[in-house]
Amino acid sequence: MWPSNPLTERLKLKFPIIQAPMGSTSTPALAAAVTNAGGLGGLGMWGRTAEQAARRIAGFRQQSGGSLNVNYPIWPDPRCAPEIGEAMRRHLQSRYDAHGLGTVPLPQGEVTDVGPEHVALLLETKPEVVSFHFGLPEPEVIEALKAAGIFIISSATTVAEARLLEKSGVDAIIAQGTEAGGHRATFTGVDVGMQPGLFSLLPQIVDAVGVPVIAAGGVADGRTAAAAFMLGASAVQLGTAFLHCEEADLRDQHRAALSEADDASTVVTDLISGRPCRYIRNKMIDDLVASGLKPLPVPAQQSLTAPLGGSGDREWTALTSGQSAALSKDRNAAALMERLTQETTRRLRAFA
Amino acid sequence: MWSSNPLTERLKLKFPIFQAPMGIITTPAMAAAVSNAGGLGGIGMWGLSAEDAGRRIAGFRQQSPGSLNVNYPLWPDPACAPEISEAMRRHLQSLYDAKGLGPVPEPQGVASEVSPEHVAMLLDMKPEVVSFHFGLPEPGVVEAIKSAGIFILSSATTVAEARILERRGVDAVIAQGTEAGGHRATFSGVDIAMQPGLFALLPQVVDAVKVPVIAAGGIADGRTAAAAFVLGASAVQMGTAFMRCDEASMFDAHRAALAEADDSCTVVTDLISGRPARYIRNKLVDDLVQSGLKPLPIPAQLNLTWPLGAAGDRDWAVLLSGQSAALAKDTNAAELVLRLAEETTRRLRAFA
Repeated sequence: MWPSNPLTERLKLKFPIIQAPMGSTSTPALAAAVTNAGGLGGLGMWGRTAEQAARRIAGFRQQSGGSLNVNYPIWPDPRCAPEIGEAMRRHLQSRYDAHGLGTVPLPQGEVTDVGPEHVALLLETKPEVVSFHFGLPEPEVIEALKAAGIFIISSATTVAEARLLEKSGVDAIIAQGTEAGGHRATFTGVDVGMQPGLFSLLPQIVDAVGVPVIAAGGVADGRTAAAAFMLGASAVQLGTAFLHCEEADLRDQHRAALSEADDASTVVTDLISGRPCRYIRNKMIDDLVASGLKPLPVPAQQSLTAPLGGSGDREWTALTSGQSAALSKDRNAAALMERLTQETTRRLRAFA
Repeated sequence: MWSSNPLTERLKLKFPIFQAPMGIITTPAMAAAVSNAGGLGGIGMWGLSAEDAGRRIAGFRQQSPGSLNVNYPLWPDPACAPEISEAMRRHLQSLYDAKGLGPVPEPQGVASEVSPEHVAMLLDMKPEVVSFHFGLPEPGVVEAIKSAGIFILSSATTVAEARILERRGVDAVIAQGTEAGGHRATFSGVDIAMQPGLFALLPQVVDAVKVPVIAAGGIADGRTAAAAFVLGASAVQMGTAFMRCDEASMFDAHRAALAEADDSCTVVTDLISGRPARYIRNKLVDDLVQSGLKPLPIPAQLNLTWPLGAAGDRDWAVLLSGQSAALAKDTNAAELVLRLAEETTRRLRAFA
């Protein structure tokens, strides 16, 4: 028996399975396929204008009548001391030259804080869930969204962060274990080296808060989903497993790297995007670590490193991945959802 | 039923619950209490002569007719360049002075290997299980012990290490997730930052090897044990939870620190013992990290740092701990085993 809980009831989900709304990698087609299969599809709104965000939500609505999770990262103005930006640009120029990419551009990017246009758009289009990464926006934004009946989620990488999120009024908390691919959601500055693995983090957050807890990090098949429920999760969120699916907007070299990844091929670094994030280790990471340089803030650093992957070279592409890429190989979201739900059911019954 | 499988049959265990044989923290009384309660008790043989080791096994036999696991760490001669040890001793002298401890001693320690005397003692005393940390001894030693009918274990921190151990003839593999307290078992040189959490490591090791897999790291209650069995473990091994038992040989300062630990108060460093291990972060850890110095090899470094905590000052003590100390309670070993077995059964049935 799957856990049934306020989260699945309120969001009208057949299965407590959430597709991580991974930045620009997620597509309306991916989110719709997940929701149509009984889970919760998600769309990342990283760097989107309100107009672009509205188009993405409309794209989902055309393909699904179910619930949608829309995700916003929260970061301050990425401007930094010119020395840092210039040192990084100088370092990257020879790498650009080797890839025939011309001059390293000036760093780009602005604050992401769910401005009034986005709030107006959300109140109008009413996605069932709005989730945040790197903490939460201003309290008024949360209140406005909640007052419109929208379900609010954010991620915690420690028990202390989970308590802060609960106090700020979230409806559910994602416990992000160290296994997770993509950006560490950390918003309290706790050192990456002190953040716990999901086996420790999840039950301790379940004990600490009253809201439903969603497990993220290393969940990729029926065994890992069933184990998360044993640990007290009300739902599971998968990212890397959905990256394998054809609906994800992913470069070919990233797909190839994921299909060959093993348990110990990833590393967390802030040198690719400007914030700590887990990637498959490659020459770009080793090069930037060896440089001893400091990254620009997110997303300015990403605006400098991303063009290197445009050439198709796996060694110079940002290969976002969690530690369980090898547990899942499904080619599309419907197949993944079907295998996951069947395996989880079987696994939960195996020990009855 | 979770509690019965080929591993428990071979080792005559009522419950597949292993007490980690933690260096000098484990005592014959603790191991006997665990085995008498139906689990597998363990004794660490770190730095003990064959005669001392034989006495500890005899101490266990007087208190329990059950199975015993005897653990040997493996490290080379800890000789190092005099510049390294002199720089460390100079740095530590002011800390010794502040504690009135006199001059920092000369570094001490010898290679830890399973010598002919130890092999002869093991063949004579025949503990049911001999386990190793940091890889395996010479093939001749493994063969001699196996041909006496002794069950051989060692730990893996990656899938690649698990495959190597299986090829070299172990009877079972411990999958040590990053959550685990104490020394990382790593023997292939893989970077700590690339080692997976238990949620990712365990199912991938289960998929990669045919021998039974024992889960370690973050397991401390019925939920975490149930999750490990769902992920494919044949047994669970707990360390930190047993440190909170009466029978453990522990400083009061260490017990107090464990009782107050949360999910994100630990860190892995090689600066305390000379090899990467997880500790509750304190002034000793911060001071040595800030020093920028290199540690002496294990156990020479530990011989220099250990005296600082002997005065009972928690800030300068060696506070081994995993990331789930808060899931455990102050108790005794028999109660811990029985409570864990009962909670695990209940948890696994909850989803039937």
